[in-house]
Amino acid sequence: MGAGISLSTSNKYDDDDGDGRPGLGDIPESCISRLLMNLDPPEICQLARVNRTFHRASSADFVWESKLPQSYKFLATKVFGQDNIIASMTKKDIYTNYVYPIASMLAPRKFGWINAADKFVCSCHPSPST
Amino acid sequence: MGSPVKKIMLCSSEKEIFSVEEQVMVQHSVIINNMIEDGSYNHEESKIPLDCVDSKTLKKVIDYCTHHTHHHNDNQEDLEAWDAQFLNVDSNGLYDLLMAANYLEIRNLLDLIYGTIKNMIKGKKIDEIRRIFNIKDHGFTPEEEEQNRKEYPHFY
Repeated sequence: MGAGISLSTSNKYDDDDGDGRPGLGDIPESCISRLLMNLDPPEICQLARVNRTFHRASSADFVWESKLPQSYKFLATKVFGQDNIIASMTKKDIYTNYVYPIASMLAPRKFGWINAADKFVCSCHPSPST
Repeated sequence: MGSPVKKIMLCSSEKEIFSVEEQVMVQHSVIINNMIEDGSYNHEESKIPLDCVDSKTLKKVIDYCTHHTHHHNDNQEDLEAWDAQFLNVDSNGLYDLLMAANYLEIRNLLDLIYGTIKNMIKGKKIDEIRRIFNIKDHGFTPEEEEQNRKEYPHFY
């Protein structure tokens, strides 16, 4: 009968930021991913190093899907003759392995925010312990 | 014609009841829209408990939805000025609004908040961003942190 929505309030009582209440640093991972989606790839790579939650949030497929060209599935089929090569990859890996190297080759000035492509690719890979 | 404006009741974490035009919340909140549509809200006796939203934040959220419902024909500049004034809150206030908007799924308010946070961190170094987010423990091992700092000094 009643219109029941309730939400876990457990994190209201977390007390690890000193002043006894959660703050911006306690934003859930899904919200961080939404935030990252609005940023450019180099900014995403930087924010992935803010803390572990940001790091996990930066790997979400929907963050990187927005950075892929709309035709990426079609292009993969053209290039590889099949699309199952990318089917098993995360969107982030598709971006770092295929989209970024090509884009930076075609438009070095636009993608000049990081000196070398390989450096950028490295910076997008997850840290070893994750 | 002439039927009274339908209201719904929202209940904050302090158990304070807010009576709001149904149309205002239905238009902005996906969750409330779903509740009205599937009939799980009973206008005679239901109150929607929002245990994670305090009165101060709920009042602001209602203000936002009401303003955007009744002023959606205003010119873009006026709306943006109103939004900027609306989000002129401290970081705790911003967090509370984000959690409330996320829970109620108020998409335009979420976009507004994400845009504000984006501006707060734009062009900042990681150490500053950690201060902004009040992150004391980044959770990386000292080795990982050191390697990152060495490899990407321009981030820090």
